[in-house]
Amino acid sequence: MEAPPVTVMPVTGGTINMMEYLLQGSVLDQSLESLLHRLRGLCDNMEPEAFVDHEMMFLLKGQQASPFVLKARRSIDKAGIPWHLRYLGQPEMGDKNRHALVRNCVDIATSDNLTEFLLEMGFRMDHEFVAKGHIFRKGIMKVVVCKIFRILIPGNTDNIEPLSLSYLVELSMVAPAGQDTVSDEMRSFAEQLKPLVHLEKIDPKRLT
Amino acid sequence: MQREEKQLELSIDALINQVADLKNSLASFIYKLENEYERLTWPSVLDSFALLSGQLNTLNKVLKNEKTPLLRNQVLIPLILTPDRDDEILRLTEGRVPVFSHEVVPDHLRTKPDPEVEEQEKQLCTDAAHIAPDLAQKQFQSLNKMCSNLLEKISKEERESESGGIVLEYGEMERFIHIWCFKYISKL
Amino acid sequence: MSGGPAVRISIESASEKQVQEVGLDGAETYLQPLSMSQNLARLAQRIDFSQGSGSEDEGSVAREQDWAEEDEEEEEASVKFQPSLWPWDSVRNNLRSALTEMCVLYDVLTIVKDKRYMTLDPVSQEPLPPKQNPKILQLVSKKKSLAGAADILLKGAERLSKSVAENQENKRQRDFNSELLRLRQHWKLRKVGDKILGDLSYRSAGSLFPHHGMFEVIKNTDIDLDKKIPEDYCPLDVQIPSDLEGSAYIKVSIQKQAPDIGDLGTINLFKPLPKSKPGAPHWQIKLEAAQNVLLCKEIFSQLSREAVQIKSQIPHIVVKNQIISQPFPGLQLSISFCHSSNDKKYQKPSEKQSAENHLYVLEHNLHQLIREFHKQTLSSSMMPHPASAPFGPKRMRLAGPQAFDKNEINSLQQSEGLLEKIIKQAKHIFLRRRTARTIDSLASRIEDPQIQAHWSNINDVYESSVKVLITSQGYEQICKSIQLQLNIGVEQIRVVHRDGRVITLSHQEQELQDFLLSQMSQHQVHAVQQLAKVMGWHVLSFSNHMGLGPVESIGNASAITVASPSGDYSISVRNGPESGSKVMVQFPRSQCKDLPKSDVFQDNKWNQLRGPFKEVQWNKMEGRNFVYKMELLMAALTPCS
Repeated sequence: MEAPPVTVMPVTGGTINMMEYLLQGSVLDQSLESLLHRLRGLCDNMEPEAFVDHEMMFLLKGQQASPFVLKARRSIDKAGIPWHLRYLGQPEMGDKNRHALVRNCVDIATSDNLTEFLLEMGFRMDHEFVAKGHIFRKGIMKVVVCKIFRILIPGNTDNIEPLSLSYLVELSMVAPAGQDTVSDEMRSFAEQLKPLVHLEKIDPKRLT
Repeated sequence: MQREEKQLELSIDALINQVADLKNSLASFIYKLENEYERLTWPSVLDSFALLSGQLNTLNKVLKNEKTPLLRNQVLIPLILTPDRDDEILRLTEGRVPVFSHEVVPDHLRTKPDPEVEEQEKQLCTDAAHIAPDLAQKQFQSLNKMCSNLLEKISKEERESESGGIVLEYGEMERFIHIWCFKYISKL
Repeated sequence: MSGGPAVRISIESASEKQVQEVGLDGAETYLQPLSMSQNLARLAQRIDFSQGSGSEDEGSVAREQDWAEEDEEEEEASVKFQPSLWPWDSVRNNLRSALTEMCVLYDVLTIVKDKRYMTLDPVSQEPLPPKQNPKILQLVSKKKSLAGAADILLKGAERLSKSVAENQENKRQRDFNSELLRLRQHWKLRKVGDKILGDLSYRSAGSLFPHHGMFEVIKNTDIDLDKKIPEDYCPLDVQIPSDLEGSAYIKVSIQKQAPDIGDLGTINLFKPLPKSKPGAPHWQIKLEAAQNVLLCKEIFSQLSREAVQIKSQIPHIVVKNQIISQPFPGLQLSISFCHSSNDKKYQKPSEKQSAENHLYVLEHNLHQLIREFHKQTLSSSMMPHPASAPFGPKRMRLAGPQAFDKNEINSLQQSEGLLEKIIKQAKHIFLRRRTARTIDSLASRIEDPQIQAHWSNINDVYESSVKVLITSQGYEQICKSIQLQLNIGVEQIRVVHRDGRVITLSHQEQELQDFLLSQMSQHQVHAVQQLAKVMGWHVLSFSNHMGLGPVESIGNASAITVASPSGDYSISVRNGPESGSKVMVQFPRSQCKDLPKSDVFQDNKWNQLRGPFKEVQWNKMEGRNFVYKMELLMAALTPCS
């Protein structure tokens, strides 16, 4: 019997293709309080959830020019929570009118030995950072306000220093492919935050 | 003759008193206007005007008094004209006429009114001539009735309102009553 | 040219000198013309040296400054007079001329009085021609002056009325704004274009119902100011979506099973009382009613979805606005969504009796359950940790890494839906009601022994408890052996006896009744036992469940035999739930008359033993209840000596 063909694309199996819609912005430290206040008013009625996460980026250099990127993220402040492995595809170059960045997205919950597994598979850790902040939700939209910290000694998440004097604000939503109306909702929500923070579509390719 | 002369003197005295009062109030009013115009309030200006109007009224009354002989029959005759200073005259006229001379007399004794006043009088006469007597009679009656109504209303307001009401309420109620009445009158 | 004698023409140059004054004799005094130096001085005064270019010595500068200051002062003095007196200028001038006239009059009169320079001379004069009726003149002049005054007053009034109208307009605007502020304190609003939209759905509280729940705020400020403003005028109006108009409620009722299902789905409603705070603005009432309608819609859609999806033994029927299910055989639970719009045709009162059927408790519980569901979606356990993870319950995310199998996943997801919970609650309510009815009917039917029920105040939605005591009147302290604790659950009743036995009864009414009857009969026998202790009688035998005698259809008969203190007499009692009580008394042989003489007994002492039993006609005994009768019997059989 032949070995089944190995495909390069991630196996999606029986699940629906999920797309991630993303808008990003940033605020300076002194405007954080007013932004949190405004988000508490606009988002669903619950206490803002604080988090401390440690994220690592893994690369697999294959024959293609662009390496395969996987993000592994774990929660530092909560125990017993599975790790989160995420694959984000290339941003879809749809019509320019689409207001948010749309990417194919695969989310997997894993156990604690993820890093060893990935290293065994041939991935190499590119960089890591710690993110501390708050999560808000409105329906299925998620707003994450966090500060990125640089890890001084690799592997030690206690020795960290902030990367900048600002907070990163991300408005994201994960929805099945084909639902483009959600980007309108995201844009109208972003409008409501307008003078405090400008959330816009930032093409990651342009940053490199 | 004696009695008539006496009467004449008395009436002239009365006239002199009235005129003196009027003059003084005029002078004080002018002074007030010229010097205290920053602190001037409407009620005080209206008071001064009311004072003047009252004094004119009394002057008219004095003239109409039975005891006053018909001044129409008296004529002023200057007796002497002298260019010398006369202190007596000076004192009597409060420093305005030092010399009773031929310069002073024509000015003081003229009967022709000022040009503007003459103009106004002529206008009034022409207007008055246009109105027929019976129409005028009707207008008299309506004017009298209107004024009496107005007076009644005002007095009623004064009685019914609190103390010092009329002056304080001059703004609201009276204003509209007046305006209504005046509108009516001016349409006559 | 030539002609008569030449005329001498003298030519005089025009006078170059100004006349200073004219003397009394006509001589003129001329102003001397200015000499050269005076002229120069005069011209020099006009030059402003401070503006010159080049060197200026300080002395001249100081002098020029002095001049400049003087000029300014003069100007100021003159300036001070003119513009500031400007509004009074005409008044002042008129007053001045009036003053002049008065002074003249005064002077003339005083001079006349003085009699040295002027006198009055009577002269007869012809009567003047009546120029005109002086009254007309007066009239005209009065009219003119009144008209002038009236004009000013009218102008002022016009200005006032304009400002009042402006104020009112502003007030209306401010009213609208202040009303909008009040609205904002209660509801979420946002501005889209030039419209103000609001959200009255429960989405921000965690609901997932797909209704948009948007209402629009309308300005209502163009009312006619001249007409009277109506009492309930509000500068703000809200427009709610058309399908949320009116009021709604969920009617939950338990009925006997309807024999036919022909008229299902009919709307049967009664008007619920609108519960709003008095003095609440009308938009608040409207919005709250619309929100209630939305919530009821959500509840009903959730219930009907579950009714269709979940599998139960007897399927639930969903027809139009009603869900019918069978909690117990013979019983029907109907949940209907009653939405009444504000139409006129609704005004007539519909069936009144349906009001009694309605279980308010269950309606309230439905509302509570859906709100709990909302809270669940928003709870902090749903939030993703780490932050990039998707939303969802934490335990489900552990399923992957921990390799749960199907059973474990099923157990995670196993949670009761709204419908199941409500059906359980309805069952419990029904069971409780029926239990109470059974106990009450027994208590009213049977007087001896008495049955008392103490219901506990604090209950659960699925469980209630009641303590049942069976006592005899007058002997509560002695005969208190039957105490039952009934725990009424959803489908069963659990009975805990005082002696520790636990019995589970089903929901059948008959079982409980039978049980209680059997307990009552047991109580009588227990009571005799207690009474014997008190009276000093000895218990010879006692049995809760007699195997002898006729078989009872309900429970078992119990029996007891007690002997008197002296041993002469004994009483034997048999009590059954159906057969009632049978009391027999044993006399000593010596008292029995109809004993067959026998040769067996040689001694007389055998006559002291107890002989045959004789039945007591219990219904002819005196005494109000069984225990009292028993006491009397015992007392009668105890000799006094």
